[in-house]
Amino acid sequence: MSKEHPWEEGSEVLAIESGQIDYSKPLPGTYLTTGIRAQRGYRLGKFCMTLMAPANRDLFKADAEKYMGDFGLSDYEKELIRGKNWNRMLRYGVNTFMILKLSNAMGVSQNHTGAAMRNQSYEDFMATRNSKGAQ
Amino acid sequence: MVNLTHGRIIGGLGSPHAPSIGAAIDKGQDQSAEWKPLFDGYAPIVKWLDEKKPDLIIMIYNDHANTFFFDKYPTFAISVAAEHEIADEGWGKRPLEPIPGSPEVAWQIAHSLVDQEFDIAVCQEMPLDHGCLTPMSCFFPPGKRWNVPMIPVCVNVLQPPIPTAMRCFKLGQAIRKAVESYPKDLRVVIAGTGGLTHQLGGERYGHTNTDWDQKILDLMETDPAVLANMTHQELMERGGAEGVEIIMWLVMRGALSPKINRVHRNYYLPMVTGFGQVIYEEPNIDLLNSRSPQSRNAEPKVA
Repeated sequence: MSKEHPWEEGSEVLAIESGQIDYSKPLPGTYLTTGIRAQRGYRLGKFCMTLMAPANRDLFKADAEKYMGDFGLSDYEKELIRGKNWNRMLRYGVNTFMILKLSNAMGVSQNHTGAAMRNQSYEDFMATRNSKGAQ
Repeated sequence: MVNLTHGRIIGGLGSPHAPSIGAAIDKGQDQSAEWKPLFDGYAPIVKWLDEKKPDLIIMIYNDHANTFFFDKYPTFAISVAAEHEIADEGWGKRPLEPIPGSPEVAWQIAHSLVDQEFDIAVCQEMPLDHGCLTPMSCFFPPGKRWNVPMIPVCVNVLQPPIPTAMRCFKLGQAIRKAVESYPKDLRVVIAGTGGLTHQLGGERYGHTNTDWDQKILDLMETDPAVLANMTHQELMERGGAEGVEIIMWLVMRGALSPKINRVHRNYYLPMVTGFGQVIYEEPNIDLLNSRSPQSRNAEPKVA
């Protein structure tokens, strides 16, 4: 897409030595935001945080392209949002709880977001739950 | 004659803090078939708080990118504010009054913790999100808000490096000493919040583990050192990425005596999180319980 690409999608395995987490053996389907990943995801996370303010949510809903452009997101970051690609946002380095602010502003519930992260339909995901009414 | 008056921990509570629980309260769904098994588990906690009448709750919780953002992120933070605003997390504030804090005690605790080499960040403004509001609004239903002031203590469980399970357990021990360093009569309940097992991101979204949830509740009560010695990787493998939140329960457990009296335990797993609720009483709670002069006199005296 652009020369930023290696920085934007590389570094899946974090070269961090930690006694608590073995980053050379990441848990499947799990993306912890630390190190280089947290660094590159910072701007997009900060963008998500702006959507806590009702006035900003209104601006975003009215003209998402303008709102994203005014904030200064990269083309790659805009593409992640347009595609509602939550897992790629996590791999990029955006924390789950920030993604939930974005998905909420895009009218997608937490469990719809979760089903998409699992590559399942909402109905298939909900069929795996004990008590659908408690959400 | 030595004056023995000082702060004391009288017990600990464990509670989930999922935002869906707060929403169920606000929508009046707490007695629905889906929610009743959880709210029935709060009834004994509400009654216990009514009976024990603590002067203060110390709430061990985590913020979810509402009060703290990664521009500056504390590992541990304590509020010394007199009052705590309700945070707007991006979908409107919950209809709750601001929650009173306890500045005098909080400053004492902050000083004592740093003296004990726990270098906690001290906050004068700390709006609260569901991590704190969910348990508070369950412990204190409408009509009881806010009967007891609260000091929130925030733990980083969002962005590694997060504190080890053992560090959290030791923080609890230090909080106990800090409370006991307060030179006035003060009866304190400490609450650990979060989890149990859950994961909210990635293809593993929705991972839960009931066997591990039950084991956590067993170990938390009788042998918390086993949990405190586990790595984050071990906790996340079993309980999901956000299942690491049980380190906040370990702060609560560390503040209690090694042997406690468990008077309540409830478990419910409706959707994406294993919900655990407990009451742990200090073994000498009968002495700590009553405010009557008789019971005060029953306490050991130092010549």
